[in-house]
Amino acid sequence: MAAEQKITVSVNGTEMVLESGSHLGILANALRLPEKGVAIALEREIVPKALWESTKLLSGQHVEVVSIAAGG
Amino acid sequence: MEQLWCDQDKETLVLHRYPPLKVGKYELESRLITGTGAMTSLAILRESLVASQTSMTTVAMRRFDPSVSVGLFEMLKELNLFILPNTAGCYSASEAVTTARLAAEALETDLVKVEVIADDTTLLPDPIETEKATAELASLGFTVLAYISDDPILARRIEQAGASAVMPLGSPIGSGLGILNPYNIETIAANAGVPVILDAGIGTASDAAQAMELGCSAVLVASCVNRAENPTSMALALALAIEAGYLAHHAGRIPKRSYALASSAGENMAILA
Repeated sequence: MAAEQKITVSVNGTEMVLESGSHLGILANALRLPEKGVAIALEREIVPKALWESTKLLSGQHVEVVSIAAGG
Repeated sequence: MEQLWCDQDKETLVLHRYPPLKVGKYELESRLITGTGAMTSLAILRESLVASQTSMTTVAMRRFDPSVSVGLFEMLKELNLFILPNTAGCYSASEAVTTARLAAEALETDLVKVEVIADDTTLLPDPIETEKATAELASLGFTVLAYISDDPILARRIEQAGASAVMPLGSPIGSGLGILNPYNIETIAANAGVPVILDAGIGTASDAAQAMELGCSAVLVASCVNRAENPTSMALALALAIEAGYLAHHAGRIPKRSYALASSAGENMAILA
C-alpha cells in the first residue's frame, strides 16, 4: 500500500522518490530550483514553466533539468 | 569618405571607438564577445568581463548544478550582459535544436550560438549538421550565430539558411594558433551580408586585431582570456586590439609591395657627395 503512494523518477540521471501525484512544480521545489535560469525536459519534451504545476509525473519517467554552465 | 565614429562623439565618454554591432535585432556596444568557458573562478571571470567591456558572453547548457549555475547566472545578470547560450557538446542538428529550445526556455532569449562539432578530438564544426540546425532554428524565430569552419562557400550557405551572424574559426578551439587562413577569412568578410564574427583560435591581442583588419565585424574569445596567466590584462588587450583593428581596416592600409618605396622626396637634394 505504502509503495503505491510513491513514485520514482530519474532526475538528471539520479533516482528520486516523490509522492504519487507529484507534478513538476513539486519537483522544482524539492530541488530548490531558482526562479529563473532553468528549464525542464520531461521524457525529452521541454515543459514550459507555466505548465510545471499541471504536469504530473509518472513512475519511471526521465527528467532533465538544465541551466547555464561555463562555456565558450 | 566614412567619418570616424569617434569624431562624432567627442563630448561624451567614448567606450568603443567604433559603431555598435547589429546582430539581427540586437545591438552590441562592444565588438568583443567573450566566452565563460575555461574560467577558473567566478571572481576572476567577473574581473575579466568588466575589463573586456563586453556586451555579450556565451554560456553552455548543462544539467542543473546549484553550485555553478546560480552564481554564474546572477553575475551575468548583474553585469547586464546579453547571454548567448551555445550548443557546445552537440553532435547533431536535432540535439542542437533541443539545446537551443531549452536555453530559450531557461533564459527567455531567442539568441543561440549554434555549435555542432564533428568529433571531440578536432572539435571542428560539422558543416552539414550546422546548416540543418541553423535552418531549423532560424525558421523557429531564433537569432542564430553559427560557428563554422573558415570556408567562404559554407559561410554563404549558412547565411542563406538564415543565420544572423556567421562565426568562422581562426583555428581549432582552444589552440591559440590565431588565424590560419587569413585569405578565407577576408573572403568571408568581404562577401557576407551578415556580421562575421571570428570565433575560436585567438591566442593573443594581435590575432584579434588581424581579424578586424581582415574585415570581421567582431571577435569571440574564451580560452584566450580565461586561460591567460592574467585574464584581466588579456581581456583589456583584446578590447583595445579590436578597436585598433577596426580603425585600421577602415583607414585603408597601404598595399603590400615587393620593393621599397621612398617616403622622402627624391627631388631637390643638396649636392653633398
